[in-house]
Amino acid sequence: MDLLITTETALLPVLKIAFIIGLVIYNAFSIVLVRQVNIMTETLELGHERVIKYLSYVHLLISAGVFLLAFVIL
Amino acid sequence: MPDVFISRDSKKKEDKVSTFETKEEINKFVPGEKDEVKEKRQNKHSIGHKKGGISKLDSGKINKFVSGEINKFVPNGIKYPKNHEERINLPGHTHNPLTSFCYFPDHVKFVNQDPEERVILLLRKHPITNIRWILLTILFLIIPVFLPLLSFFEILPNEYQTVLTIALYLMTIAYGFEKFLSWYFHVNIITDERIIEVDFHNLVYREITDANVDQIQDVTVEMGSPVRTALNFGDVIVQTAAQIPKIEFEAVPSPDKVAKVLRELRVEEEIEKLEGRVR
Repeated sequence: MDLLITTETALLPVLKIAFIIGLVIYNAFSIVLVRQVNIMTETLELGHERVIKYLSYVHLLISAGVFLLAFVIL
Repeated sequence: MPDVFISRDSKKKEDKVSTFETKEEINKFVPGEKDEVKEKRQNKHSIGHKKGGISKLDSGKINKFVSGEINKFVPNGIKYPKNHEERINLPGHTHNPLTSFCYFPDHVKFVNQDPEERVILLLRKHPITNIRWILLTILFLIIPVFLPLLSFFEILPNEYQTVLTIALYLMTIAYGFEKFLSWYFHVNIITDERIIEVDFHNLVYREITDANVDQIQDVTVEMGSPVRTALNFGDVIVQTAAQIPKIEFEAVPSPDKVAKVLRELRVEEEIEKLEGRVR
């Protein structure tokens, strides 16, 4: 039992770093997504670009929020 | 005053037009179409240089092989709407932002569009082609509900469980959003001058292909499965004389109507060439 607890305790920092790295990569993806939406809307105007741009920014904000949450609570 | 528009490839077109020196030569090239050309020219002049008012043009020769719904769609050639009222009453015109088929769409503009160029048809893949990623997204959204049943999830502290669950939802939403963007912005546009395919293969790769209407050599419609036949969507393959020899409109709704529009445009373009009124 003690061995299991020790193993868990040793693994948690590794898991935390994995989470943080994963979320950093995810945030980079969100930024690329925003950029991609901008390129798409510059290439094509279909009349509803504003909604899609807002969605991409909301997604970026949420992913940044999750990153901060993970950084604080883990 | 010669009725000639000047644009990027007008020089090339003028060269082609100048090969018809006399009226006799023109009539020889398209026998029996002299009066139609004259009538169409008069109709077009009645509203300035913009195309329109060609409903009087007797296109019976063109339409006699086409019947039913397709014939109703563009009964007497492409009728260019002169105002908003006419536009909204056109069959195939819609204000649905997620439509896959819109005849004379309201707000469509694209990069490198000529000022006088008019968008006739906006096409996307049929919505049913999205079913796979929609189902996958729903599946991924359900998965976190079952995470507590997994033993490795239970041994994680609560805060780790929370972050993992939120991250899974986030990735699922991102997957769905990315797929939606790929579908929404992968469009085929038919204008009165050319056909354009805009494709975003992935996050960073953009491909825009276009070919002038007068470069279209062959149009093939393919509907190869029971689902496609039942829902009336298929591929329209356009062979061109341009550098890119083939432009494919994948899984577009009503491919017969698309082919019909392309046919009408080619006829118009031929007439314009014969008149020497190109832009």
